[in-house]
Amino acid sequence: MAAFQSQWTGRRARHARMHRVGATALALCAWGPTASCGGGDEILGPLYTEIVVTSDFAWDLPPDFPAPRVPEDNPMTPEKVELGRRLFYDTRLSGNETQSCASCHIQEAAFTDRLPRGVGSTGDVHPRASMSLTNMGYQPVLTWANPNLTTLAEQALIPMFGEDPVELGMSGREEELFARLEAEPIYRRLFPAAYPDDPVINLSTITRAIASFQRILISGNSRIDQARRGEIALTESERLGQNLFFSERMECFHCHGGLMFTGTNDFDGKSSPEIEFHNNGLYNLDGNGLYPSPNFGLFEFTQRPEDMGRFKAPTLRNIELTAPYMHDGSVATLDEVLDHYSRGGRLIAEGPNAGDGRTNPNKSEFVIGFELTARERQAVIDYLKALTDHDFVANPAFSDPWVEGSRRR
Amino acid sequence: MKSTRLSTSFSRIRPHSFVALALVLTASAACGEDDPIAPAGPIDVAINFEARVNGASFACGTRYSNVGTTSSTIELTDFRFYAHDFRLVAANGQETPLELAQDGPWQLDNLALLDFENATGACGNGTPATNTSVRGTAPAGDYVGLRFRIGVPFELNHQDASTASAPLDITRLFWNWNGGYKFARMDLRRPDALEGEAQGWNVHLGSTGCTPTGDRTAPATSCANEYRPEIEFAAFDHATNAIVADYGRLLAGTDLRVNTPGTASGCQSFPGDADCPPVMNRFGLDYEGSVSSGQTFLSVN
Repeated sequence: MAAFQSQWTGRRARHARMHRVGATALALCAWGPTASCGGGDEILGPLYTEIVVTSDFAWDLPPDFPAPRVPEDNPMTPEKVELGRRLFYDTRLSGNETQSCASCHIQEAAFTDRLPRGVGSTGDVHPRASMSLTNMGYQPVLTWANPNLTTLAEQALIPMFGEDPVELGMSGREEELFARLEAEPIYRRLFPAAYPDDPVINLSTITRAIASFQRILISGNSRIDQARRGEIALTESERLGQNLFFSERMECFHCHGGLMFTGTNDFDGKSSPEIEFHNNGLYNLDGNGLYPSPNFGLFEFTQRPEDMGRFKAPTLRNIELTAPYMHDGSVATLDEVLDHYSRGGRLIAEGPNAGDGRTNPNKSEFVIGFELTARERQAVIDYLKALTDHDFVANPAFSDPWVEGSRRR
Repeated sequence: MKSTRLSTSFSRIRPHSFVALALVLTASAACGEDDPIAPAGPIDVAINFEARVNGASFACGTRYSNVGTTSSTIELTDFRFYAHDFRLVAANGQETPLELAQDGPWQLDNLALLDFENATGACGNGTPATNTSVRGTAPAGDYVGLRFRIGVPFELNHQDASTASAPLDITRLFWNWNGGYKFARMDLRRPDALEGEAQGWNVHLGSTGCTPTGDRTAPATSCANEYRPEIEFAAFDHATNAIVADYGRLLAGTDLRVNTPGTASGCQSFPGDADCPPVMNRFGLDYEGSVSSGQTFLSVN
């Protein structure tokens, strides 16, 4: 088993900041999930990397990334991360022991499941698509449209205990879950290590450990990142796509802007979180903006008519890997995404969801439609694909820590 | 197996509950009667509840016929609800709060969980222990009536469920998606449902339309629909009366064969659910223009 290796190993940091410290091999050992430091080539690299220390936790951050903001009630520790990684990939977290978090959040698919809508452990089909966990630690609200879910630990209760739909299917069975985990020798070591003051297996310790693991799922080594750091040059087509993406002609960046390629973002030291919900004109069932039940977006919570169909714009990082698209997986390819936005809203000619999303009264003022030449369209797609971080989806620190095939999915 | 689960539960996360359990078991003997030789002061009050289906005592595993507008046969899979803000009412209308015993498993602050299922039969996802009374103290006085609310008070409803104390640690009553709890959970299945009919029908009462106001990173600070019905009995003697919770009466206006397509199973308090008006009205709640003429779910025995 390989010790965790910084993906920034050997890269020269070109944007050093005052608050960063040069990492030592010791610091990396403290971080490493397997705690198997002690020699070998694998730990030589970090001598050259940069690791941000926040609250005594050594983040392995891309050189131009701030650290995620961490809730005060759940400080980061390497032990919690290691425990959370085990739990994330543990099918004992589902009632019938067939699914783990990773069943719907598959690393190779940037922690999505490649399905239009998620399927739970008992076969229930979720009304919405499994969201990518890319850089979730930078998200101040966590789901497609629920403004109340602001911490990863709290959010974890929903797949575990939700019943409409059933996801992991643990509702009413938490004692059974605790007993299963107590029977696992690895957890007898990991829970006391993560929670030395109160090494109890309960909902709080389980969810906070999973949250700690999710918070390190940081992606910042796409071609676009490398180009921003001056390490590579984008292709001509990618550069054209970038210009189009950030143009007032396409308006993509208004909702998908910033370092995280979503307007909804937060990080340690930021003055305040930014939270945005937008209607992008996918539906208009009744001419007054109605979306298909039960996917009403922000309206479900605020019950303000203008919030019907308003959803969070997800990060576009790794978007190539997270098809199909939109909150309900109703758009299959990036090409079709561009069809949707170029028309300024989707027309559904017939069927129960018939309607013209272009005339949805709640539609974002930035979904105005545009025309692209074939070359321009390819350039935009090339640019979006340049947001793929191949190191992120292959990073062994984020992978299944259990013996192959034993507990996964 | 069930008792093992219960004991491990208590030993793991509720260390004081053995004491609390003993209190629960003895409470009925100690409450509800004035002791003539005791000095004047607070009196013990126990408000007893009975669960029924159209007048018949409720038990997990029992089937009940003639429920709803089309005489369905049903078997319940859950029967629990939270209640809070108990007030004893004097003849002049003055309210005196009932101070609830902080017993560990069932009562917290002014909140109590009434739990009529015992995890047997079709109630397998429930808890073996039941709780059919609310216990507390009040100043000695001449009380003629009772008022309380169904539900979890706002101050307790929007906290971190993963660290919440009993009785707010019941995952079956979590409603995290709405940032709160299910105030009432009464689920049923229809063993002789025909093809195309609803196989089950669930009543989940809880606040909906909850959203942060102002700082959207803070927990829910208001709910468009509170759905905490105020219950009032003008004549209620805690020493001799009990409160009957009748699921059959709650469903008296409902056709249990039908669940409106595209809506949650039964009525789960969400907006735009045509299955909700007859249920919500019988809780005493108005629902989207359907005005309640008074609750009929609870009555005094």
